[in-house]
This record gives sequence, C-alpha cells and structure tokens, in this order.
Amino acid sequence: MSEFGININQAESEFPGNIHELLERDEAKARAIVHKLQAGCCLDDRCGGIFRYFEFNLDLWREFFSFLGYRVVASEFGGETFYYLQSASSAVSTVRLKRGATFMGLYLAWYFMSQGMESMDHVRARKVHETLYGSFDFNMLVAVFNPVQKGIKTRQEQKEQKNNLKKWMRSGLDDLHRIRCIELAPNMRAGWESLEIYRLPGLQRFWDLARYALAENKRPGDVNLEVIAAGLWGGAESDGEYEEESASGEDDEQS
Amino acid sequence: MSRETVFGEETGTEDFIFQLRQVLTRFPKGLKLEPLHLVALGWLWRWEKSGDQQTISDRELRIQLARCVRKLDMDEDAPEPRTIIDRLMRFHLLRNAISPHSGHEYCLTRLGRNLARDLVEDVQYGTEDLCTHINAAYVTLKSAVDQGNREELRKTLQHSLLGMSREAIEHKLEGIEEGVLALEAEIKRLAGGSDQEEMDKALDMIRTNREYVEEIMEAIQEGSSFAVLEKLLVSCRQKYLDDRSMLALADQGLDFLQAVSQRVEQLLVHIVDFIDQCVSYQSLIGNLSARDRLCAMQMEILRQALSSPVRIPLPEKPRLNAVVIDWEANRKDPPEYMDKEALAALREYVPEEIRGLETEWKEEFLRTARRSWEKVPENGVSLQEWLDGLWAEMPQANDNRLLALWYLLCDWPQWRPEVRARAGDGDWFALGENIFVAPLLLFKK
Repeated sequence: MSEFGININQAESEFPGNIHELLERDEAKARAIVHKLQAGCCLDDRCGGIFRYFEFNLDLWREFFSFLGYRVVASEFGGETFYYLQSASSAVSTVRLKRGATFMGLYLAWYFMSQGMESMDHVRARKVHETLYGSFDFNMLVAVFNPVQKGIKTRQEQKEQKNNLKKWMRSGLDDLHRIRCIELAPNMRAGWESLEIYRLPGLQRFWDLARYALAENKRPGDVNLEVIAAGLWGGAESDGEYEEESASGEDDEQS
Repeated sequence: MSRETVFGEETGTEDFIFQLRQVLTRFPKGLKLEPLHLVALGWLWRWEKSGDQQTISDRELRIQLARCVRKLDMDEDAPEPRTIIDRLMRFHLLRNAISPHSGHEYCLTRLGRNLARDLVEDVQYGTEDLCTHINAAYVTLKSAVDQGNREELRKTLQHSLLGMSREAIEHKLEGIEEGVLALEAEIKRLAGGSDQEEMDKALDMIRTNREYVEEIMEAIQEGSSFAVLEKLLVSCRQKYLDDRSMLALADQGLDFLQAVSQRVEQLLVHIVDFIDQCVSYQSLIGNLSARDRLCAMQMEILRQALSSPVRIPLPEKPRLNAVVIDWEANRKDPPEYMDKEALAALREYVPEEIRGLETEWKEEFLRTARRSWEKVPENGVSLQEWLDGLWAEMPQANDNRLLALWYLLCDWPQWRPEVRARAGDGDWFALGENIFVAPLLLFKK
C-alpha cells in the first residue's frame, strides 16, 4: 500500500517546481531529452515517456533551454504536436543539414501529403527513388545530392552516378532519421530493397517554406526560394555540415 | 492413395462418376450463367410462389423478365428476354410445359426452383442482424432443452446450432468483414482524390462504418442473447457430463461461440484503428483546396531547390573538447599530428605562445621518452600506462602534461621504430583537470 502511495506522489500529483527538480526528478528522461533536443532531434509523442515528461513540464524546459541559449519551438501543423530547438543566442552556433537531406525532407513531406490515405504514413525507399528519379532532371539531382560533382561526361560515369544516387539518398534518409523527421524500418541497417520510410511528425518542418510563402500571399509562379529561405532559415550559405558522430543518446531511448 | 480409391470401397463409385460425366455434358461449354440469369430465376420463383399458377405463358414470361430487368436498373446491358429464356432453358432451370391451352408455356424445373430458393435464403443471411441469428440459435436450443429429450437436444445441437446457425453467423460475420473492407477501400479512394464533394462522401461512409460497430457491439455485449446462449450451453454441458457425444457437441458449441467473440473483437479493433487513421488523415491534410495549394507550392520549392542550395538549420550539437588523433588518415607515414578540428580544440588549451615555448626540460623529456619507447614490448602498451611511467620519471612534465603531450606528438614522426596507434578498450583517462583522452594502444611496427 505504501509503495502505491509513493508512486502516486511521484508520478501524478507533484510536478517539478524548478529546473533543479526537473533535472533530478527523472534523471534518465531529463538526460535523454537534453541529448536528443541538442542533437537537433524532434520530440514527438512516439518518443513515449520522455515526450510526456517534456510536455508536462514545458514551461520549465523552456526556461532551462533559454538559459542555455536555445528557443523551444512547438509545432502543431497537421494535428501532430512536436518540439525542437533553435539557436537563440551566439552561444549556440547553427549547423545545417546537408543539401541532399534537406531536399529529401522537402520531397518526402510533399510525397506523403499528395498521396491518398493509403500511403500517408509510409512508403518503400525504392518507390521514392523511382518517383524522384522520374520527376526531376537527373543531372540536377546529382548536383543536389553531391554538390562536389563537376559534371558528368561519359556514359560510364553517368551509369555510376545512377547507382550513387541511391547511396546519396540513403545517406540523406539516415540524416532525417537521426533528427526524427522520419523513421527507417525495419532498422537503420536494412538493405535498400527492404527499406521502408515512416513519416514522423517532425517531417512537418519541411512545410515551413511553403506555408511561409503562402502566408505572404505568394503564388507558385512568383516565389523566389532564395528569398524565402533567407527569411525563414537564415539564408542558404553553408555553415558547418551536420554530422552525427555516434549513436549517443540512442541508448537512452527506452528509459 | 490413387484417385480411383478416393471413395474407399463404397459401391456405386463407378455409377457416380458416370453421373458426374453426365452433369458435365449437360451444361454446355463456353456458356455461362451470369448474375442477371440468377436474378431472373429468383424473380420467376417469386412469381410462381405469389400465385397459384404452375406454368407461365410465353407472353407473361417476357413481361416478367423485362420488369425484373427494369426494377433492378439493369436496362443498359441486359440482353433481350428471349435470350435470357434461352439461357435458362439450356441450363435446365426452366422447361417447356405441356399446357392445356394452345399457347406456349414454361415452368421452373425442380433444379431451378431449389437453386432460386437457396440463393435468396443465402442472401437473407446477410441482411439479418447478427443479433437475430444469435437470438434464433438461442430460441431453438432453449426449446430443445425445455423439452428435456436427450435425442432431440442432440439433434438440435448438431444440426441447428452447429449446422444452420453456425453457417448463418459465420456468413454474417464474413459479410460484415467484407463490407468493412470494401467500405474502407472506397473511403481511401475517395479521400485520396481531389474533389471536396467526394471527400465529404468519404466522411459519410466513415459514419456507416460506425453503424457496423454498433451492430456487432450489440450482438455480443453483456445481456445479449450471446451471453445467455453461452450460459445455456454451459448448463447443457453440466447436465450431460456422463454422455461423451453430448459433451463433445456442447464443447464444440462453446468453442464456436468463443471464436465468434474473438473474431468480433478483432473486427472492432480493426474498425477503431481505421477510424483513427481517417481522423489523422483528415487533420493532416485539412481541406482539399488548402492541401492542393500547399502541394503546388512545395513542388515549386522543390523545383527551385534543384538549382539553389537550401539547407535546413539545426543547432550545433555541443562537443566535448577532446584531443583526437587522426591515425587512420596517415596510414602510410608515421602518425603525424591531429586533424584540424582537434588542433583547434587543442589550441584552446595551448595558447599560441605556449605551443612554441621551449622549456629547459623539453629535450630531456624527449630523450627519456625515446628511451622508454625502446623498452616498450612489441605487442604495445596503452598510452595511459606509458604516460604514467613518463610522469613518474619527469616531474616537470607531470606538472605540464598537455605541453608534454604536445612535445611528444611533434616528435613522434621521427622515432624509430615508428609509433603506431590503435583505439584501445576502456574508459577515457584524465590528462589534466579538464582534459580527457580516449584509450589508445601504442605499438611498434
């Protein structure tokens, strides 16, 4: 009986009153929240316990991250709430997702919404490759995914690039998986043929540009991507490249 | 076992095979009975039942067939009544009747009459509520129990509950499942389109889906005949514990009820999931025109993103200031210094002026280190262990470990035998108060 009483006390009735308590009350969850958000991940309700710990104590977390130089951004677009961090002071520098990964994010956001209910949540990587390859100029895609490329000359080179496109797409998908915009199934190491992409709420971030443009009463014909990207994402100049060094923080997921 | 013995030792097998062959020859090849013909047959059966006439005149037959086609809205692709009559005759569902009048008359054959009746009854299974079927099963069983006749009860269990009722209930459930799936497919198709009207229709259909839920909920919830039927079966089982065949029948009945309730639960879960999916889809896309505008805009953005680089910003992941020696990059040469990033990290600890600093103990320290290196066994030594030995020998270096490590790094390329390194196991070790070094194993070539 007494154990039961303690549980109620801890879990339900008392919320942490200050940042110190917030970090101490459930250390494992607090650590996972900090690690994930600082690594650029989106937190959504599929993160389970840590999401609830975050959302229940949202004001305290805002205060905590503001102290560290971040702003907590909440999005409810599409009826699915998720949170992520933005740099809000010079103490936190900004890196950028690779161009290829960003392009994949924009494309997948479009893909999931433009499909019917059947494929609103997941799609095979193979299919995305096929439709992407069929919808855009191949040489331009190569330039997007591999900006170092100097231009393709021979037939042989072109053939190689076709195979490379899959590899580059894969690396873009891996990046999007790491920041929880999509989830790769059955797992991150799955082969290309069996790889499936599941939409996560975080993917909605890639609608920001289009929504911003529509809010400005722009029409597709008179949109200038460079201008809106500069307005919303602070320009397209390349800062540091986003790279994940290790799978740190993954272990905390189950906590 | 060969095909010839499939009927065992039963007599008359040959005769039966012969009969089946006759069936084959009776139905003409290439001709098919289409739904329309079955429907027409049903119509005629009904006509026959409604009056007291056994035969139907040619004229009346054609009028009835035309009426059937019109009532069922099949006017467009329906063949002439003449063709329908012909097809029914070819399949021996309809025959010429010998009539006392001068006109040409027809009547249904026994085959046609039975087929029409069974078809219509079969469809009726689907139109009754699941509740009604279960109720009917209960009423039949109850009256048999009340009679108290063991044989009667056995027959009821075997033929009614486990026969007719079972078929009706299974048929009904299957119908509901098919209906639900068809409805879902239709909803998905409508919702994926670009027409708001169709989208609204899809939403209406989701409501129909809910009606299915209500029907099956009603059927198995507490207080329904389902529960009472189950209780009745249990009491039958108790009463005839000594009769093995009765026991087996009651058990089969209970198993069946169990299976039905499981199936219904699965179906409910499925429907609720689907409704959830619909709700989330609707909230995802909002209304269709907004979705289309957004998608068109995104497509334009994608098109422009092909030529102008856009990259989404993320906060930089905080890094620990760590000294990382990039051994892999210089596999051919003796390991040199570190990668640029690590040098930058190191610079924070070793200011420019200090890095160029020549101390009086530098040369002695390096000599000591080289001597110590010569003693290192072939299979190597951990960096931490080796440095600890050096610190012990050279207290000046111990006081300024980072500078000492810096001297070592600069000097290592000249050493013979060459210094090789491999990532070691274990924890990072402290070099100074705020500096940690990854575990490394040093070894000679």
